[in-house]
Amino acid sequence: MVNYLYIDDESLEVTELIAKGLSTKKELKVTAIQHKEWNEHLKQIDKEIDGLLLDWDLSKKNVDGVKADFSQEAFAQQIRKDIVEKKRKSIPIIICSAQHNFRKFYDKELIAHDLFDLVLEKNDLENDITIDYLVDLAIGYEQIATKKYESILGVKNDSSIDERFLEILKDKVKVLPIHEVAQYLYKSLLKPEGILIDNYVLAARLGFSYEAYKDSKDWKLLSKKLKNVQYNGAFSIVYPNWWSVKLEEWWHKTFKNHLGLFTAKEKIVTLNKKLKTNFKISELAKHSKSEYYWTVCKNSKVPIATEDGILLKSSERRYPWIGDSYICFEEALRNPRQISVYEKDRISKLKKRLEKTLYK
Amino acid sequence: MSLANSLRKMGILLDQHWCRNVTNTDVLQSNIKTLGYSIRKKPLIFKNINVGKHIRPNIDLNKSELQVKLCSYLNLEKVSNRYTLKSLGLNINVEGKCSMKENKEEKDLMFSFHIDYEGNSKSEFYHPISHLQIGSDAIKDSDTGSLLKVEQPRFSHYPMDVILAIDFIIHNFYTNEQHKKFTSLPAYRNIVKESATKYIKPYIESIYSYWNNEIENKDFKPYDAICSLPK
Repeated sequence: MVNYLYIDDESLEVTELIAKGLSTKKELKVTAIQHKEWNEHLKQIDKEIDGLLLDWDLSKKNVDGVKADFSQEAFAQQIRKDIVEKKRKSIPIIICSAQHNFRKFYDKELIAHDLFDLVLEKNDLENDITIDYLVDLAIGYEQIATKKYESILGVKNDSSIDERFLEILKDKVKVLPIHEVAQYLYKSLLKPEGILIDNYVLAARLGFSYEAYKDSKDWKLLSKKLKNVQYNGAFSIVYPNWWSVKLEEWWHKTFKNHLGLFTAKEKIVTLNKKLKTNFKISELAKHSKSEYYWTVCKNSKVPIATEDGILLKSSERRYPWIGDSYICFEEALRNPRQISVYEKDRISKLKKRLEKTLYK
Repeated sequence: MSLANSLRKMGILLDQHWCRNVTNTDVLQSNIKTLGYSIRKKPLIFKNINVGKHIRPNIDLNKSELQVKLCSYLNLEKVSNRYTLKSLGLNINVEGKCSMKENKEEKDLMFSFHIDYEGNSKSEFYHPISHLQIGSDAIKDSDTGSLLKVEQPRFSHYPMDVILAIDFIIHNFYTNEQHKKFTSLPAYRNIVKESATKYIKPYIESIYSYWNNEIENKDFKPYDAICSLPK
């Protein structure tokens, strides 16, 4: 069983209820406590704790009338420092807040991004999936502790994994604490589209919209068929993903041709015939022309071909194996500030065309 | 797609999917202007190439390190509201240290050719507007053995920007099995298709206008491209 400590400035009457809600499955036990003064606060994190759930805001006084004279960010930083100095074991730290628009605020707090493993809003704590997330993070830390890439990535061999990614991973597990390896996995593998692709991109590459089929029998059947394509390594519940290369290999093996050569329509027909499913092709996104869907719009998640994608301004490629991020035309028209300087001309031409048709 | 964006995208695709076989992809992402680029100081280098079976001199491929180096420049000009090709040049060198089978000696070997597109040539010989020529400055003074090197011929050839040249190298120096997965990617095909539309299509159309009056000849007279299409 995984043990989490939940630290909040709210009264225990409130937080114990939340902790109880999170402890309904046998895999997880959450204990709620209130903040204390700095030294006492730190002492509460004993060896039995597998993870921390911290409330961002510590502005209220605790039951003894003590107000925290530190932030959770500083506290998390101290925990990470202690781990580096081998004073305590490496554990995942999750930050949560009831603050309205907390995520927006957090997105600007860049220094904190390397400290926390997951960001939750308070209402997320009522969702069952959060239990799975907390357990997954703690187990992921254990997988990294093995220092073996096979167990971290859930693979038998490294034949289809980008060797540059793997080389860095192997170096990091040797010398860095677990939370640093976890951050590397989040940023280089699990969050961006590249070596791995998420459910939306997988569905787009096969010609349909994940949103339309995520609860369907057909999706379940397809997932079963693609069992060997699925990513089963560390943090695979928080970040459900698929190996991009393995999907292409599966398609090639099954249909004797390359996935990229088929239009969405051709892929859907081929897939339905083989699996006896009823997937329907995702309609072209507004103003798009190509049916060679390969990615999704980062905002709306509609499948698009890369040629119809508008490059995002924030498309920072930290690692060479990561691809660009795109939005669809409609989102680009709605959010012109998001688009890359390379795309300004393309969008202004589209705008002019639309204006012409409007005034005709 | 702008020049800079196309080259940047090709650079990213090579980084993502062809990284074992190519170095210096950063040249595709720096100093690309609206009306042209020059990739000459630092070439794109393709490694692990496959040169087939019929090679002379007789070298031990297992002990030789042949690679393809690509340099390229391109200039566009704006003529009545559209961009047309003003000049283009690309140089492809196949070179490397090779181990001779006969005496195990190590030797630097090189083959090279270039493609030029020149609007107004004032040469004393016929110069197809876009042509391929064997050799380059790099092999001017190299040992030729019994091979003869002359200026001629200049083969009529469609113009190739750096993207078409990359595609050309990948298709010619790697087996179908090696490159098919990469060259089948929609993003790759789209970038190549776009370059083909920009540079091959007007070239072919200008030539085809020789037989078809309905095609608007935009860039040059057919004779300027192929000598056997007299005016």
